[in-house]
Amino acid sequence: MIIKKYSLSNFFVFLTFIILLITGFLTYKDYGIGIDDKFHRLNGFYWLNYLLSFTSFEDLKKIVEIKLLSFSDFTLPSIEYYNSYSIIFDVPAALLEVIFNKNTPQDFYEFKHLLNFLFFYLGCFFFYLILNERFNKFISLIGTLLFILSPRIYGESFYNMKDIIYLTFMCAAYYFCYKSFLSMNFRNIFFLASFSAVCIQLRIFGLLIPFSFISFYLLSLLARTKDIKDVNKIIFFTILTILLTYILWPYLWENPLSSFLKIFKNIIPNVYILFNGSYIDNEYLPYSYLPLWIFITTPILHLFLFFFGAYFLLRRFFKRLISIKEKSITYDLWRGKKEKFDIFLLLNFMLLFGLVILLNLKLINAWKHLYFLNFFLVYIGVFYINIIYIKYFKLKNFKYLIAFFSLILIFISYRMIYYHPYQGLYFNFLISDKFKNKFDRDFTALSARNFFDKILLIEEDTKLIKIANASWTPLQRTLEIYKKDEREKVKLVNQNYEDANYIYTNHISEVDKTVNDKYNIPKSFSKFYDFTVDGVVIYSVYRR
Amino acid sequence: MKELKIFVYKCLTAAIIFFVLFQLTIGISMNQIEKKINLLTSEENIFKVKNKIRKELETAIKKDSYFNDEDALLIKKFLNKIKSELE
Repeated sequence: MIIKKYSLSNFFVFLTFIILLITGFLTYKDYGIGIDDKFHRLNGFYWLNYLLSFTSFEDLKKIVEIKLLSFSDFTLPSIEYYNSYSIIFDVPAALLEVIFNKNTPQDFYEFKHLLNFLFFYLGCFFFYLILNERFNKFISLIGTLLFILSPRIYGESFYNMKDIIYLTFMCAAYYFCYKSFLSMNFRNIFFLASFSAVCIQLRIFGLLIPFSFISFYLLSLLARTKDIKDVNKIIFFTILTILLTYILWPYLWENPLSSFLKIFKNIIPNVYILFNGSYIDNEYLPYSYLPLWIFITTPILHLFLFFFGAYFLLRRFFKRLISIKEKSITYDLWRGKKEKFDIFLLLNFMLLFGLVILLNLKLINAWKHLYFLNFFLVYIGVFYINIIYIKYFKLKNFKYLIAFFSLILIFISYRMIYYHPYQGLYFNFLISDKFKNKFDRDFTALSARNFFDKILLIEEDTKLIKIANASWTPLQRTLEIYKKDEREKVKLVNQNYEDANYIYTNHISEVDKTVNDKYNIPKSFSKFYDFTVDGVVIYSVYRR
Repeated sequence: MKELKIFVYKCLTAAIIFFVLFQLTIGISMNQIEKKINLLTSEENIFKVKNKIRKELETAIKKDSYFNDEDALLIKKFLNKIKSELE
């Protein structure tokens, strides 16, 4: 009976991953060109060129140099200055672009979107592995579904070449962290150090993983001095993490220390952002910024499970904390290894969440830079599902509970299909349509593709279409993916509205629109149409 | 070691509480002051001041007269006085 139950769970897990893979393969071409796509491609070729300078692959070097010379975009930041970005995704993507001969912009951007998705797919698999080690098969399956059915994260998995890649490697690092808690051997420590090094390279928040791993070792040492036997492994881990961070990150090769210290300088631009109906300087974000964004863009089921899970985890943690005794046969803050991992993730989440809010870190584009927090949100939610499972599994009504969860998950899937390909702009049911439009939306400029498709169809017979742009969005990057004759038909006139036939705006502004008239639509233009999804105005078009 | 354990936990808890309280009290005030100083020199503020001057000028142009009769007489006398002294 048990074997049958487990094989059924295995089948559903297999089915979930197959459906996810097929969905990804069928839809990756639907997504627009993200605002960062071009920069990541440039970053890939810049570092590939640097790495090739140490080799004798002359032909490959020539191709890469030609590709590098082909970058011409005045809106692109200087790669010589902004060269601290990770190479872990960009360089292999650049190399594969050359190997698979992806020569047209549409080809190579779509190819990178597919690669991006495959990384996310790998991240989902690691997340499943964590849950499978910590909980039973059934809970792991539900948890993995919750992780996949996080609309904003799923949407971004096709074009966010930094935060989603970080999420993937963070999942891998936490998996080996848990494996190291279970069995502190050199194999697990090696993988943990490797993935931690990659995480540090991708986001400075990655430093938290090795720091908290070592801190937890010190905490366990406080309770049980016999754990000192593992100290050589911890030293090995520390040295290996530092060494691999250096080796895997060419940015550090020349001036390791000064280059590393430079990355603490926040390179997110200082701009105004639309938050809750008013334009605010992103240098001074209100404390409510991150909690409110998470609250309105995460499905209600995820929020509900997270709140209850966090409550039970915190309650258990405080119980342990206030009952610490001088002499004890167990560890102080946890009883078993599973509990240790729960506390580990809870404290990691609280530390990250607290630091971002209290230190008032500069952010833009909703909570994009912190999408990896979704890992903690879902894990803590799954912890609560596990409590429900343990409490009610033996009851007859348990099957109704499964049916209820399944229904909600189907509903979230439906909403994600409804939003397609704008899942990255998802808002939940807790807020009204009017409220949704009081926030920045299409920051990544995905909608530009939909706009060009429509305009080129409407103006099929026109020789030249002049388009002005009333938003902080580089439209020319999306235009690059179109055929030559279509590109030549469109003339972008930026903010020279008087020259334009159409004005496009995705309502993203780096200035306070209430005092700066840079993006004001002239009175000679009237609204042509609004492109909306679920009440969210993604972009608007004005015509003379 | 056992005594040290309790000491370490107490220190850690106190440090966390201190950091949070510091940020929620002095940290907020410092942020507010920094925000106000930066706002004064910001491009947005320059735009605001420019717009305000434009608006005030427009209001002034629309007015029939800038001074009431008493003030006009007073200023006239004052200007005449200066003029006579300069001559």
